Formats: sequence, structure tokens, C-alpha cells
Amino acid sequence: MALLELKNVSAGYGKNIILKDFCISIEEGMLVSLLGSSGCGKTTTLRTMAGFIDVVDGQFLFDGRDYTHTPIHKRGFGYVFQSYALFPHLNVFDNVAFGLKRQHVNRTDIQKRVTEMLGRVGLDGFADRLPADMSGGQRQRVALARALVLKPRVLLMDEPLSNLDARLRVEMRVEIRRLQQEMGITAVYVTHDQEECFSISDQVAIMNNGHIEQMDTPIHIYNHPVNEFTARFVGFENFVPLIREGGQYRTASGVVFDPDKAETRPLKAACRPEDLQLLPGHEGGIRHLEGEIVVATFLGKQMQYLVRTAEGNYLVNTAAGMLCAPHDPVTIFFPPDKTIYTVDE
Amino acid sequence: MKKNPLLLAITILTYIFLVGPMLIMVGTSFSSTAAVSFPPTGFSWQWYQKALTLPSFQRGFVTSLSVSLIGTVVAMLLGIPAAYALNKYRFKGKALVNGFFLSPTLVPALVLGFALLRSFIPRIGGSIYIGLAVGYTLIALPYIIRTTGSAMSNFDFSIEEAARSLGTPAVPAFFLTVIPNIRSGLISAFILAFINSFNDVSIGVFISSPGTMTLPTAMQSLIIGRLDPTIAAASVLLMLMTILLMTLSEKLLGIKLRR
Repeated sequence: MALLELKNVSAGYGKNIILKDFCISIEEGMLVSLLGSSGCGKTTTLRTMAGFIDVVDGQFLFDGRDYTHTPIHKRGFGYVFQSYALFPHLNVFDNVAFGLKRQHVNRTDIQKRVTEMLGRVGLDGFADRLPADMSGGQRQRVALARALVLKPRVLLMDEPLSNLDARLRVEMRVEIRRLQQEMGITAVYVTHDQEECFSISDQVAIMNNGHIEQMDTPIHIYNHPVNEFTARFVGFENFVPLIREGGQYRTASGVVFDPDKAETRPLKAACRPEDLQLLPGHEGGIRHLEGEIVVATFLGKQMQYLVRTAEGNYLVNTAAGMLCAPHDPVTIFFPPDKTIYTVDE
Repeated sequence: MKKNPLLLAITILTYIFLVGPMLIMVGTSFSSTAAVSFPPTGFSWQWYQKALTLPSFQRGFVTSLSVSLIGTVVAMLLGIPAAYALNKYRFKGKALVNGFFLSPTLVPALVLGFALLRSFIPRIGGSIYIGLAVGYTLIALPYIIRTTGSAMSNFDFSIEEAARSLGTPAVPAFFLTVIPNIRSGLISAFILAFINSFNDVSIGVFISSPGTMTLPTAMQSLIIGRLDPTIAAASVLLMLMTILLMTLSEKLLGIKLRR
């Protein structure tokens, strides 16, 4: 049974409804990421779970219980903010002890638990510091400790790393994953960074326009996006429209593609630029598009070519050794195991 | 740095213009004769003694102190939640509400005093004391909303949400997170509003009775009767009080700026 479940939820800010009839279900112990560009509703989903946003319609279940209208402070979920939201007037110890004090935990236990938690997040010896005297990474560690010291079953994180520099982001995401697994917490993680989200999540929900386009394991989404939106999100480009004709899928100029899909609707074939193969000269055949080089760009490890074909312009990345010049005739080959097919809507 | 003699002259003149009357007042207050004259003749503390013992001044001081305090406190109780709502929430007509709260600064206090005298006081059974307190609440409200509002505009409201998510109900969360972080704003709002109410003449001049009048009104009626250095001594005392409160406020603002 799912630990967190939004059932046909509508929610938003005042009259601006962002989630309509929204459903998601998250299993216990998972780290699930909500991935999408700004305005897609990922933060709204998270804030709805936390109780910061009122549900207009639908139901929110936690561990099978109806939590739709449970006040924020009675949910017992940890929440980590993009801006850290540490208490600026309290030192690190008191920041972390805040929740325990509200629960009237006795002083020796507070001392013990806070000290242990600070050790866990790598902040031994920082207890007396004020947040203003700490770096961004350290502050986010305090924010994590502050939420985790209450041993919540659920940890909600809203772009926790987006204010950190690139190197620290990688370090902190490993840290977050370690803590989440060690403590067996169910976590929901909002981000717009594809790499970050794929690297730490058990499951990823790709969101667009207030609904989930696809929710699955990172590997599955990476290799089998269900539609063009997700496909573009995980790096697919080079969409070739296909129409069904005489039991076969063909491009407008007649090149045959062979999707292993029981499908009759128009499809699009797609492949990542680095997975396409570029062959010198013109060479016809199945999944072969003939064309000529338009632009050659040096990317360091790779060369990127913009190739004009009868179907349109496509991007191909090749090993830097393969050199072509503009106007050279070439053929793009779509390898069968790297080519996906999405329904053309 | 090269000095501009014209600029220097203007600066000196401006300072004389600003500080001159105060210096004359201070000088006069120590005079040993009853005539208000400058430069003062002789030196004595007698006018201070008189200012501090004059019954109308004593009563006026107590009245002014209490109505200004009540007005400021009530204005804070109304103004802090208003500033909170104006800062935290987006709603329709927010600019209108904001303008409404600041409108007492647009209406001359004289008009406010007159309006209170004619329409409000008869309706509350003629209590001068309550009339004054209400008048000073109105005067203080814009200061409170402005000053606490600007303190709150620097406050990240996710800090309050953090407290909520850590198991704190809404009201304690406000007192545990918002209040401690706008404390210096609150103190300066209080001091500014209090000084403005305490030094006000326009409202007090309308709302007064022989038994109940504010200190500035009592001073005014003394001047009308006779003029001696008592008034200068009382003014110096008021000035000292204001300077003290202002310095305190500046110090507190300074702490905030450094943070």
C-alpha cells in the first residue's frame, strides 16, 4: 500500500488552480522526485502534501488515513526549503532542537538527539554557530538535521540544492540519499535538474502543466519515455514524423522505420544526437536518412553536426575523429536499439 | 578634499537655523530672572524646579504619557497583524487597504482632532481621555504599519512555515519566528509612534478639558496666560526625553542594519 497518496486532488493559490484532478501514489521507503520546469505544479504538489496549500477538491491519504485537512503541525512531515529557512535568531543547536522542544522532550534527550543528529549530517562542533556565519552547504545540512531529528516518516524537499554551487550540489545529493536510506524515510524531492533527480531517485515523476506525464524508475524513463514531452526532457531530439502506409511506417519521403509496437496511429521516431550514426556518402535503407552537413560544431570530446534531410534538420554527435565539412553528403542511421517511437499527437 | 567655501557657509547657516532656537531655549531656561531674554542673565535651576512642580504640567505629563502609551499599544495590536497580512498574502484591493491604513498621515491632525471632538466624543459619553487615546491610536497606526511592515518585508516567511512543519501551531509559530526577527523594527515603531503622539499639539488642543489635557496643551495654555522661563525648562526636558528615545531607536536600527 502506498504511504502517500493524492487522489483526484485540485489545489492552487486562491482562484489560480494549478493541480486539477491530480493523482500520485508513493510507496514507503522510496525517494520519489517530481521533475519539471517552473510552473509545472511540482512545488504545489509538495506544498499540498505538507499542508501549506489547502486542497480544494479530492483527498490526501497518509498511510491509509485521510490527511486532507490535517493541520500542518499535526502531519509530522519534515520539510526542507530552497531558502533553508533556518531560524536566524537561533544557533545551530537551537535550530535543530526547535521541533523537539515543541514536543516537550526532556532536556537530556534533546541534548543527546541533537548532538547525534549534528554528527550524522557532519556538523560536529557547529552547535554554537549562528546560521548567518555558515556556508550554504552547511546551512542546508542544518535544515536537514532540523527536519530529521524528529524522525519523520516523510521528508519533503523543495529544490534543496538549487542555491548551491555545482560541486556542492553533487556532494549534498549523495548525502541526502545516504541519510534517506539510512533512516528509511520516504522522501519526495522537487527539482528541475534532470541529472540530480535521476541520480538520487528510486522513482521519478515527470510533471508538465499540472499533471504527471510519466512516473517510473530513472532507468526506465531514460530509455523508454512514453511520449514526446518526456522524451525531450531526457535528451531525445531528432523527431521524425512517420505515417502508416500499407502496413508499414514510412517518413514523408518514403524511408521505412520498423517500430515493434502494435500501433496504427501516426508515430514519431526519435533518437539522442549521440546515439545516431553518421555514415559518409549517401546510403539508402531502413532507418537511413540521406542528407548533407549544414553546420559543424566542435564540442571538445565530440563533433556535432546539423544535417539537412528531406524530413528536416537533425543533430548528430560523433566522435571528434570523424570530420565532415558543410555540404558533405552524409546518411543518418537510426540504430534500432536506440530509437524510440512516440505517438504523434 | 577641497572645501567649497559657499557650501560650508550654507551648512553653517542651516545648522544655526536648526539648532539656534534650541540653544536659545536652553539658555533661557537657566535664567535667574522671570523675563524671557537671551542671552540669559544669571544662572538658576528655579525654572526647572517650577516646571517639575507645576500641577497642570504634572497632570498633563501623566495624561500625555498614558494616552500616548495606550494609543501606541492599541495601534501596535492593530498594526502588527495588518502589516503581517499586507506582507504575507496577496489579495484583491491590497493597495487600497494599504493606502487606507496610511491615510491618517494624509489628513492634517488638526482636522482629525476636530472630527473626533465633534462626532466621536459626544457619542462615547464625552470622555476626553478615551478621545485622546483613540486620536493617538490613529496617529500611531501608520507609523506602526510602515515600520513593522518594512521589517517584515525582509523576513522570509518560509521560516514561519518551517516552524509549522516542525510541529508548531499557527499562533505560536508567529510568536516564535516572526516576532523575534522583527524585534528591532517593533521597538523603533513603538518609539517613533510614541514620540509622535507625546509631542502632538493638534489633537490635544481640540480634545481637552480643564481637568484633562495633554502636556503640550497645558504648556500652550500657560504661554497664553504669562510667559516666563518655565516653558523653556519644560521644553528642554521634553527635548531630552525625545533625544533619549531617538538615540535608543537609532541604536536598535543600527543593530539591524549591521545584521
